[in-house]
Amino acid sequence: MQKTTVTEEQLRTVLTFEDDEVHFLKEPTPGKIAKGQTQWALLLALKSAITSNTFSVDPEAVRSICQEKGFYDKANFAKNFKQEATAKLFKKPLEPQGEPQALSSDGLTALGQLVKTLAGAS
Amino acid sequence: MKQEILEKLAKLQADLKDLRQQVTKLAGDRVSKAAPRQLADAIATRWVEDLRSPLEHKFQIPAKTIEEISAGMKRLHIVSRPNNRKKSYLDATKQLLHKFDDRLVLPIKQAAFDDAEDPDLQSVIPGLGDDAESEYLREAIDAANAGFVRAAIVLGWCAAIDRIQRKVLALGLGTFNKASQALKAQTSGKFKRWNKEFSVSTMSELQTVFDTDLIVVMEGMELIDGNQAARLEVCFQYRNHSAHPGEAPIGKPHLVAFFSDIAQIILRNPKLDLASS
Repeated sequence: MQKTTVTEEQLRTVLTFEDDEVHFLKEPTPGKIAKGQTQWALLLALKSAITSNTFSVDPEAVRSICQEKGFYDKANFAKNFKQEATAKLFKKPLEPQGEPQALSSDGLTALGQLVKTLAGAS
Repeated sequence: MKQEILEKLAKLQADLKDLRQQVTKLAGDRVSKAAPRQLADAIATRWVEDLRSPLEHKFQIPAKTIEEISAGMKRLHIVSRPNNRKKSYLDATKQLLHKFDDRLVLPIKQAAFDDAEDPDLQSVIPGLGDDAESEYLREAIDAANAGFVRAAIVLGWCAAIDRIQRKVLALGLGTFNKASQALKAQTSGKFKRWNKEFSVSTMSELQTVFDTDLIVVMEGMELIDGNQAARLEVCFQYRNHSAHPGEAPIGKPHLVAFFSDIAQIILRNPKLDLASS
């Protein structure tokens, strides 16, 4: 995350780590479902980096959190990951029931920007 | 939701057993028949569409269990493609059915609340919404219905205090001041140590009176009795435990008790009815 110039303070504003679990204190609230899906995928990669030291995302974990947070569009879930803007954030495309995928350098940049935005949100 | 999830889990378990049976009966070591393949795919799909999210996020099933079951479901999804080996199906179903009840059913059964018991405040306290003359109460009801228990209690307390303040204003601030003076003047009984006296002349000044003092003076004004005052202090404790971080539990049972009490003691109390002032 240092590459993205996210500060420790910004990270502490966005999440807390307790009993080996990551809890998000700030959550994405975009108006569009597809954007929410992408942002949660990025945050889950951050969570994975903290707990497993790798910025990777399990597509089914994204589906699960999106269902919970109201950013799930069953018909377009897989399609959203294939959109160019989203696909380039991961080293390989995320696919339903597929393998976890690591963030690309674009993905790391997008995650850094997201964390800064969330940290700056009142 | 609890009952609904238990039923879905029972169906999932039954279907996994059915799948195992269908595959076992097949001749040869490959699965080419459509029925077991479709069933395997349907089970895996049901897991990701209907079960994983509530189990993971609402019932807080341990992450390790969710990962194990999800991995098994992914495997089932993959083996459902044509002509995979019977052994792959049987391994996947064996892994998924292993301690199924202990891993998935038991934690749900032990979960504190069922949606049937879930405090839809409108059904627990019929007509509560009718009292929603204040924005605080409307927001409290919305928060409760969305599952935000602590927020609902804090807002519910705001609604209760708002009603009390407006009633005091309607009765006259002089009445309130006199009641506080009379309590201070008591040399025996419950209020003999009460040494506060108020001289408020505006709503703004009334709003600076501590909630606990407001409860005492309300009792002095005979708007509530001693037991009701004591119960309101418990409600105030719930409010404080909701607003201030700490270890004291605040859950749905507290929410129901809290709203039941403030509805009966304040919002529905004829003595606190604004129309009767």
